[in-house]
Amino acid sequence: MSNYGSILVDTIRPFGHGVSNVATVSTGVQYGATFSTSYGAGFTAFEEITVPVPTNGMVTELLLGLTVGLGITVTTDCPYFRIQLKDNAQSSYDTLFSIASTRLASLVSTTTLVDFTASRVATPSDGTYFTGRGPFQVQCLIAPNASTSKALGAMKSSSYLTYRYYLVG
Amino acid sequence: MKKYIDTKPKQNHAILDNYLLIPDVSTPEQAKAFKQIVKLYKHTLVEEKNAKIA
Repeated sequence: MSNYGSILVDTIRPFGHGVSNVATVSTGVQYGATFSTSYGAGFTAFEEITVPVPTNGMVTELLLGLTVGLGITVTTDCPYFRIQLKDNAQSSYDTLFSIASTRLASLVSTTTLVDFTASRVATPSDGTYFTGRGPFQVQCLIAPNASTSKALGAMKSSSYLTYRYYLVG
Repeated sequence: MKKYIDTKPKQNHAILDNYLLIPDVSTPEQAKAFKQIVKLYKHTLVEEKNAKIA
């Protein structure tokens, strides 16, 4: 590609297939239980995506957002959510960024959206990890309700991941 | 933190299987670059599908 300056790209990705991923990891995954992975206690991943970056391009700013539509009425031991970011060369998903929503209040209804956005924007000059070269990998996680069935029902088709970034090349 | 203010009309949206991509481009070079980005996303989606099958 020739020199194109800077492009702002907004992306929206519905969970879609991610819901079935939750089903595959539901057994034994409960909030408060020991979950000995890099996700952190209680968390399990339900969506992993790759943000591709052209070989001659560089991401200078990246904002993540997660909106989860509830499919149940939450009662107790309410779930909460996390989004994490790493680049392809790193093994731990929270290397570049990690942010969690607040735990849902009890009696939250199915009309409520859990909606939060990453507050940190990385730039090539603000740390040793973020080169901006990518590709980047985003992981969405849930710390489910004590009832796994409620964790499965905690999301519906209105859930989506958003991110926007400046690409310079 | 930098605040984002959308002042230009969005154009050249791309809708893929699992993505809606909305670029903010104003020059032919940017539009051309975005087409390359869309190709990369398509390639990534194929890789994701193959990984799920495997």
